[in-house]
Amino acid sequence: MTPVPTVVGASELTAEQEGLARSVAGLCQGRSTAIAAGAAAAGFVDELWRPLAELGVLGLGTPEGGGGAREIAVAMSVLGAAAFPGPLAAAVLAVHVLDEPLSDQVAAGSTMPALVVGDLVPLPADIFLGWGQDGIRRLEPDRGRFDDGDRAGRLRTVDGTPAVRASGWITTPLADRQHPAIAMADVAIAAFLCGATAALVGAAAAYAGDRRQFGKAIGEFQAVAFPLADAYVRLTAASELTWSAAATIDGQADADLPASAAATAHASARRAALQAVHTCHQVYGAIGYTEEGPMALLRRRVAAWALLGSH
Amino acid sequence: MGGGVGSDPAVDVTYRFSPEMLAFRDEVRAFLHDQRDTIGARQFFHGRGGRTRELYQAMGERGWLSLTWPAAVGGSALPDAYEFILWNEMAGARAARPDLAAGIVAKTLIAHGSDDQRARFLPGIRAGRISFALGYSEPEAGSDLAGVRTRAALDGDTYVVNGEKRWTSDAHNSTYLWLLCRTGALDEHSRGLTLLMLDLSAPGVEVRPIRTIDGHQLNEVFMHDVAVPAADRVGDEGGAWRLIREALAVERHLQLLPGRVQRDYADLVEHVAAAGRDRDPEVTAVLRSIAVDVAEVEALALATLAAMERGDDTTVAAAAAKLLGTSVSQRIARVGMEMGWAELYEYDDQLTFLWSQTVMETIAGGSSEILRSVIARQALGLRASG
Repeated sequence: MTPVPTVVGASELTAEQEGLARSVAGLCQGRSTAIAAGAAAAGFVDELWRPLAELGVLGLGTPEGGGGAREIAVAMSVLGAAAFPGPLAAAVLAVHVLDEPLSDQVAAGSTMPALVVGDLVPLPADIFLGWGQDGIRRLEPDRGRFDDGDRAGRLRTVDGTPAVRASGWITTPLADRQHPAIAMADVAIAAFLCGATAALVGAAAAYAGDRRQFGKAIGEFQAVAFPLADAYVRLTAASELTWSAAATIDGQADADLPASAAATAHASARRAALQAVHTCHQVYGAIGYTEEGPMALLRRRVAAWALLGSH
Repeated sequence: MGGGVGSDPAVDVTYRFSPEMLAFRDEVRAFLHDQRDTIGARQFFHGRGGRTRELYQAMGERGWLSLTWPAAVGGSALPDAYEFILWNEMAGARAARPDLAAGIVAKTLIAHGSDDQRARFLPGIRAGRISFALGYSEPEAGSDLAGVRTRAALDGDTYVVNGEKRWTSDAHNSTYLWLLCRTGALDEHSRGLTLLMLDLSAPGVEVRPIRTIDGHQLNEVFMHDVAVPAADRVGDEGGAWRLIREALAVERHLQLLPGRVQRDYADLVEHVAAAGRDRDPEVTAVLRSIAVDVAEVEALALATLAAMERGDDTTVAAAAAKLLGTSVSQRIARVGMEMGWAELYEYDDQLTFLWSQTVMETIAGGSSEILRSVIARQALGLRASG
């Protein structure tokens, strides 16, 4: 058996893209404690965010950063499989929609971008973007600096990341480069979700092959195996849509199509991920319900990413 | 999605296909446009006789039934993508399903037939004159073909065939039956099976219709002491299993044609608009969700084709495409009932027809249960047998 591929486009990667996937996976390896601790932990920027920026991941798809949508898809799927924390989607959006020098600073990892979810701003953050039905907006706290009185408090996004509330902030619509930036972010989100889903489904399948009840592996029961097969089908479809959307963006064959293809990939990946979470929970039984269990981190990350860019 | 209902959200196929392939697609579309007045609304579902046979012959004149065959046997030696494009357009126009003779039969004869068989059959198949029905299923052998009981006993240089095939599509429209039969013992399972080409007009053959819930017909084929020349055996005696598995593999890119699902969806959108329901936000939300399904189906079908062109094993990719594609067709046919769009479901309406017709899609040609087992075993390493 081949394990469920976690890298989007796995069967069509160039040598450089394979190298990128290996580098990103290498960065994640050995940093599982920091990854589990999340974006709010003290070492996050030094241990995870800056190394990622140094690898060039945050600037992918920009003229300076090199690569394109496919490289973003490759990197983000590997990060998704690792349940990597932090404002990755915000960074993809920011480097493609903001002007210099801000975009460069985000790519370099020295300025932390945030994407508002609902009306929460995940922290740490220096610049703030919103993304809704009406496109991308720049947000700013009323007096230039947000009141982080909430920080020690209870505000957290769905995956537990500390946050401040953005109600009453000044918002400015961003006119330029919206469509390419949104298409890139759609691909990034879809790819991250595909990577996370592949990790979930692959691990649940392995567990179903090991765990024995009634004298055999539970994966030998169709009632257990078939929902996993369905999850695999939706994941594969989402992954193929993500890769073809990325290839289309890179080819720019049709000015209108990439946005729509990327949005379709995004919707497909979101649905595949959310369905897979419940399927995998059912496979794991009680162990998946525990905070120390095999799904706790990934399922939370899926929830956070599913809520991004709700257009 | 940015686009409204009915806008095409799907996959940009141009990144998969060369300019030559896209030019061929345009050629097929022009052909279908020329033929439009003679293509019936449900011709795709009506089997491979009548107008569909005439259409095959018109395609044969253009060399379209032998696109991927080697040049040595009169083919064009083109990549598999050409066949996919051809039959996908045919499906999208609801014109015809792939011709079994030009596909499974011809490809098996090219790889494993005798020179005499190739000379006798391939020219007629290439021209669309010789047609085949698949004689695999039996009353006691549905998904489990190793249980085939129809017997062929060699007597001199003739096989004498006795038995019964069931659910045989197109037996009433075909010249030959591509017959999977038993020459060994039943307990030899798949090892005792042999492939014969049985002339459906031979004495001792009786084809009886089985009426289906969508107004169409399958058949029972009874064979009583039917004589089949040994020269019409394909491959070795007892060697059928490998041949039919191989034949399945070379046709995997045609197993699920997304054009059919896209057409189902496009028609649904049209019906909804005609009923004046397209401005209801609840309706648009449901249709958008189905549009994502449809895009997924196309992506899986194209991934199967790409895997085939790379020379990868396509078993899992094709299983995924068929599993999802057929269930999406059912969702499209069912959604209006769930939503209570009564005006779209009069007795002769298209959605009523599809609501019945799509039942067959998740059963025939590899049931959804078989496909899930394949995926569980080969992609996830789980031997889910029961």
